[in-house]
Parts: sequence; structure tokens; C-alpha cells
Amino acid sequence: MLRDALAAIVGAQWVKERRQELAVFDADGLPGYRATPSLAVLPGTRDELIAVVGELARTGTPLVPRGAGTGLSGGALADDVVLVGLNRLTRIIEVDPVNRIARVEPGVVNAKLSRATARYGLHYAPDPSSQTVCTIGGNVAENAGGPHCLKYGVTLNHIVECEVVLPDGSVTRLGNAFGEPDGYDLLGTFIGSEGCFGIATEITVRLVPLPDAVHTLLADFSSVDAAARAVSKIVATGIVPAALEMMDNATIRAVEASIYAAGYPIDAAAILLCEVDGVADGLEADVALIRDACNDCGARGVLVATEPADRMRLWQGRKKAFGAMGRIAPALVVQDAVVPRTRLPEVLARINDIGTLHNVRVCNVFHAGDGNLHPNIPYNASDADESARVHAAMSAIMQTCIDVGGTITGEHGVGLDKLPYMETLFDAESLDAMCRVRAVFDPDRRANPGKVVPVHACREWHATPAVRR
Amino acid sequence: MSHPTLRATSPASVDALAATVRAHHAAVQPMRFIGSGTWLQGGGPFVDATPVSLRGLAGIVEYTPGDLVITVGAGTTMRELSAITTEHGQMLALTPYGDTESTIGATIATASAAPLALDDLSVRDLVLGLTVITGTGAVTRVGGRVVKNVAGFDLVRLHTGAWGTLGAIAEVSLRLHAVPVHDVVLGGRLSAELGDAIPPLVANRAPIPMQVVLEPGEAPRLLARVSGNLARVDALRARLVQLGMQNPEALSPDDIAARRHTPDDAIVLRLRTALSDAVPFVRATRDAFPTASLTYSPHRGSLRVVLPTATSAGDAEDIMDGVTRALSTVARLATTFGASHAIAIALDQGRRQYPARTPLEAGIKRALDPDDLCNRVSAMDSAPAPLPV
Repeated sequence: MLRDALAAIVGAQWVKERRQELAVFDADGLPGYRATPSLAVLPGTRDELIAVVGELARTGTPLVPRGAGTGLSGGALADDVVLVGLNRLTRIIEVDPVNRIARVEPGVVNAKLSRATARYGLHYAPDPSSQTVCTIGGNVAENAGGPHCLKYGVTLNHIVECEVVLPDGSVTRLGNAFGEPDGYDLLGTFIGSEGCFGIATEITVRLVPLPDAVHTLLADFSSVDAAARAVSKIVATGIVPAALEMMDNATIRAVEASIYAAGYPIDAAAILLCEVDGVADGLEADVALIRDACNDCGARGVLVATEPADRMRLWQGRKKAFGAMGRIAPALVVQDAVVPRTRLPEVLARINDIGTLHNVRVCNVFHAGDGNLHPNIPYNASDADESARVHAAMSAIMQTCIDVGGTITGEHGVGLDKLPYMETLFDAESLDAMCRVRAVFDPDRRANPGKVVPVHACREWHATPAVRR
Repeated sequence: MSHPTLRATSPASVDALAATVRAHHAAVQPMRFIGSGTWLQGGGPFVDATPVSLRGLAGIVEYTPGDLVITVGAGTTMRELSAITTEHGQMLALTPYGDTESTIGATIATASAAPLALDDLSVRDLVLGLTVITGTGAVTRVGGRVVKNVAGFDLVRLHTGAWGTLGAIAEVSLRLHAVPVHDVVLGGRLSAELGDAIPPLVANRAPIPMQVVLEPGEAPRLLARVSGNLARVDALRARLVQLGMQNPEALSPDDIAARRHTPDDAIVLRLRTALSDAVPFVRATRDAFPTASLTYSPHRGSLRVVLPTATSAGDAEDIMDGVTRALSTVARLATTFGASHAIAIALDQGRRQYPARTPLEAGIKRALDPDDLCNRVSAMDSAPAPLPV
């Protein structure tokens, strides 16, 4: 039996198959989707992980890799297939401050890595809001972003090499820790493949020097439109802020009513959090330019924080905003779309109209500098009528973003949640090319089956093999 | 069934390019995709094939300056692109080696090195989306026209640096940057000899794109790009002096262009090493190639070696044999190799690059160009002896 074979590899206590043990894997960070794996296996070493994937390959068993389960697209859900949990693989194998790299296992928590490298004056730059929990392996699978990706780039820009176990159980290395190799960028293709191309067993990340100085601005506006215009104005100055985030009034109120209260003005229609960092010289001049841009767009006030404690407080409200929305309703749907920056004012107005039309409450907290929207709708999932309205509103919002030339996900991934929009965004030939590339890594389509690209879009589709216990 | 030999073409639209590729696919006839043709020896040697010029696919497809994103035909030259964006106070933050008449499509296809690029950005950091005609003539649109995008598998990264072997790039969407208030390339001799000069540059933490230029018989010279507001530029200039740059002086646009120029038939080696091995690696390379022009990038660990141009076919063979022998002395420290001309083949046999691809690379090639018609790489038998690594 598969269970026994896996238990022989990882130890019986690390193979979970009782319903109450599997319940913890029923959902990821996006309520609304639930699925239960047939069993969960939790390898504790690289070799165990490779052996587990090899055994699943030998038996033709589909698998779903999972890090911390904080994903927001339903991508880590295993529907009656085997779930491979990676959160026991937590070793920081090596920090090499001279070459500014670190080698880690996939289950290392994002924020823990930056804490471990701070003593060298270095950090791992991508900072998803879930960074205190989410794992580097999960970040690689999703090509995760975060507020500071505006300046520093997303996960893709910070991974230099991965050892990968492919779905057939073979092990290969992609990329090179000491420089981009010639040839196809297989590492770049692997990152963001949402577990469909294999599992990273070891990840080498690029570390970035901590900035000499950091200034964080809080600008408050009496209209969302004015805040959105200020975003374009700031970017047009030529300054690339480390982060440029927007929150609307609904979000501000939720945060200020929570334990994460950051001192945001609760009567503001919108606020911008803008951070500049780098060499200390010249930073004041950048701050002045950004302040002017905000004032030109009608900001009611601009506060500048330079002390770490003050800056942390401002950021706490932003980073915990999703959690704060738990005060509004028991469930929350989080969307993730990107639009051209100049279309932000009209798209935000349209989102407001959609919320009104469907009688749902939309809270916007997002990476404005990238045009990366996160419209969130708190709701009661046990109310069928409200759930239907939320679903309709979300579909309308996504279509709006596509219509203005945007995309359906900037950092959360497609997973299950965005699957229906893939055929709206891409034509058949483009989807077929993705299917062909997927088939190179996983010809049997056993790794995270049914995610990212609709199976019927693959011209040479063949059914995923049945689960075998 | 035999097909008539297809002739060189220069399609002027995506549809026309797709029709051309489909015709070649039907005739099982290899194609050689060409931009401006400014550096045809740049990659591994390609087999004789019907030239398909992409230069006709030039011009703006979509440009909203406020978005700092532009979509252009792949045949648009770097000079044309610069002219378009400069009008709006914007730029593509790349300064690739080569001629300004080279096309953006070729720059992406080759993932050209971008010395002294703003913020040390590379081609892969700036390409947002591509329209690519695969080897079967399928028109695929990958990525998008927004600055952040994880929808679907990342085929943009796959095509970037694939040297056109997976299809013809027809249109490109690029991230632009606003031109900084002050933006200058400074140059000056380094005050210390190589062994003392390089470590502080490698350890430097300030965001300054830099290059150490080592010409035969000359003292090392440092080039650095500083940009931002006046206070920052002044501070970075002072930092460069601390790092050993003597009498920093701004380079003129002509000086910068001259640094980027690479003779069409020059042999170029692209090597990398760990930052911690910088000094022995640069020294070993200097010893191995005493007449070459070397350029070392302290933040990237990359070393570019430009060898004297061959004047005859016999010279070329001698140079390649010499390069192959000399490289074996530095191979121990190098982490990655790339090279122009057939030297790539010699390196590949010792390492692992194409045409002896890994199974994954071979699979990718088959997936997007199943009949191996796009920029087919020539067979090994024309290559020099393999590098003993």
C-alpha cells in the first residue's frame, strides 16, 4: 500500500490519513475553497522528500506540494490526492555573506531568513504580507511579491539556483548560484509554476544589503481618485520608492478598530504609504519631492516617519490589514489583479460601482505603485445569497481589470481561483504553449493537477491518473 | 513530398511573420531569424537557413507614458526606442553591448549583457510580455503589458535568452523608467593594483553599477554610473573616491557608446565566478589572455573578454584553438561560460550547453519547435576540440 511505502520513508507519524488530521489541510489562505487530501506526507529531510516523490512517481500517484498553506488562490488544495507538506524542511543550510547568497530548505519561513542574515547587514527582499508564516518554497512556487517588490523585484528576481525534484522523481539543478548560465532560463520558468513543474528541494537566494536609511511617508486624501493620481505623479518623478501602497476608508477603519491600529486617519477616503530607502544622502530631497507630489494632488497631510518604531507601526497596519478584516465578517475573499497604473482611478471607481450594484462591501488595500489591486470582500460564507453576490462582484471586477489591459494575478497565482479567467486572458494557442511546457516537466500531469491552466485548453490532454492508495 | 526552397523574407506584420513560419514548417525548412544583423556571430554557430528578417516589425504598438510601459515591434532598433521614450523623459534602463542599430527583439533573444544599466537591471528584469511565433507558426502571447504578472507559466523568461531557438519574437512589452534628474557615467583610474582594488569594489554596498576595465598594458580603470538627485550623486561620487577611483570624470555619450561597441567579428567570452574568487579569477584570465580587453563587473561577478579580431579564416582557427587552451587554465574558477562563435560548442562539450542539451532543455525545444527549424544550431563536427574541464 502507498501509505506503508511512504511511512517506510518518513516514519509512520508523518503520514496523516485520519480525517481529523487532514482537516488542517482543507483550505489555504483563501476561504471559499475546501478540499481534503487522500493522505498527507510530511518529509523531514531532502532525501526523504526525493524518495517520497519517487514513490509517488513509481505508483503513478498525483501530488500537491504545500508550504505553509498561506496561498490566496486555492493552489495548495489537494482534492483526494496526496499532499506533500514541506514545512518540516526548515534548515537554513548556509549563509554566504561574501557572495551575498543563502541556501535554504523550502520550508524556511520568509521573515526568519531575513532575521538570520541581518547580522551581516543583508536581507531577503521579497516580503509578502504573510512573511511571518509563509515559506520560501511556497514563495518560489507562487513567485510571491510584497510591498517592497516595487523597487526590489519579486521572488523571481531573488532566486539564483534551485535543486528540484521533478514529478518523475529525478533530481536536477536549475540556475547557478554564481551567475546566470547561458541556455534556456529553466529556473525562471520553474519559479511561479505553482507546484506543477516539481518541488524545490533546496533554494539559493540572493541577499540584498540593508539600506543605510529608510523614510516612510503617510499621505492622507479626501478622495480615492486623488490618491490614485498621486501614485502616477510620484512614479513620474523618477524616484522608485521601495514601496507605494494604498488603503481605502473601509480598510483604514477595519485596521484602526483592530489590535493592529497604526494611527491612520479614520476619516481619510484613502491613504498612501510610501517608503524610500537607500543611501542616506539625498533621501530628504526624495521625500520632499514625494510630499510635493502628494500635496499637488490634494493630500490633506503628509506625515514622515524615520524612527524604526514609528515606521513599524505604520507598516503593521498595512501588513495585517487582511487579518483586521476578520472583524467585519467571518469570511474574506481576496482578489489580486493588476491594471495599468494610469487606469487606477477609473478602475477603483468601477470597483466601487460593482460593490454597490451587488450590495457587497469592497475593501481595497493594494500595491498601488505596481497597479496591483487587492479588492477584498468580507462576507458570511454560510449565507448563500451573499456568497453568490460576492462571486458575481468578483467576476465583474476581474473582467474590468482584463478589459483595461490588466491581468488576473500579480502575485497570488492562478491556482483554482483564477482558473476560469485564464481563457479570457489568453488565447488557445498561448494556453497550448503553456500546456506543452508543463508536459516537459510533468508529462503525466500528476503535480498539482487541475491548477493554473484549464485542462481542456491542452490540445494533447489526457486524463490525470486515478488516485491509488 | 518535396517543397520548393523558400526565399529570404522580411515580414512586416505579426500575421505575415506567422504565415512565413508556417510555410517553413510545412516545407520543413530551417529559418534564421535576424534583427538588424549587427552581430550574427554572437551566439553558437547556426546552420545555413533561410534568413527571416524581423526588422520590418518596427514601431510602437502601444505606449501610454504614464504607465511606464511600451509595446513595440521586435524589429525596433535600440536607437528608435530611445528616441521614442526620450520624448517623454523616459528610457529603457538598458545599455546593452553592441550597436544602437541592433533591435530590441535581438537584445531580448540574446539576453544581452547590460553594462552599467540603471540599478544594475538586466534584460530579464524589464521584459513584461512577448508575442512569439513558435516553430509551428502558432502565435503565442505570453506575459502581459502590466508591471507585475504571474498569470500562467512564465514563458517570457523561457524565450528571453533562448537565441530565437524556440520561435521568433514579434512584439515586446517593456518596463520603462523615468530618466533620473542626474544620471552620469564616471570614469577614473584605480589607485591600487588589481589585487587590492577589486575586494573593496566587491564588498561595496552602495547601489552603484560598476565595471573595472583592464586594457593590455594599462592601469585598471573604473567606470561607474551614478544617478538620482544632486545630493545623492555627490555622495556616490565621494563613495567612488573612497573605493579608489582617481579624479572621477564624466564620460561623454561618445565615450560610452565606444565602450559598448563590439566589432562584428570580435570573439567574446562571457565568464562568471563567485565574488569571493574575483581576484584570482581576473588575474588568471589576464594571464591566459594577455592581449584581450577585459571588463569585470564587481557586483555580478561577470567578466567579459574581447579578443582581437581575426583577419583571416586561418587566424580565426588559431584564435579559437588558443582560446580553448587558455580557457582551460581559468575553467577551474569559472562558474558559467558563454561565448560567441564556435567557441561555444567547444565549451559546451566540456560543460553541458547546447546543442548537447539537458533532457529538460531538449524537451522545451521539442515542445515549441518540434522540427528544430528555428535558429538551428550547427552540428558538433565543425567545432574545435572540446575544452578539457
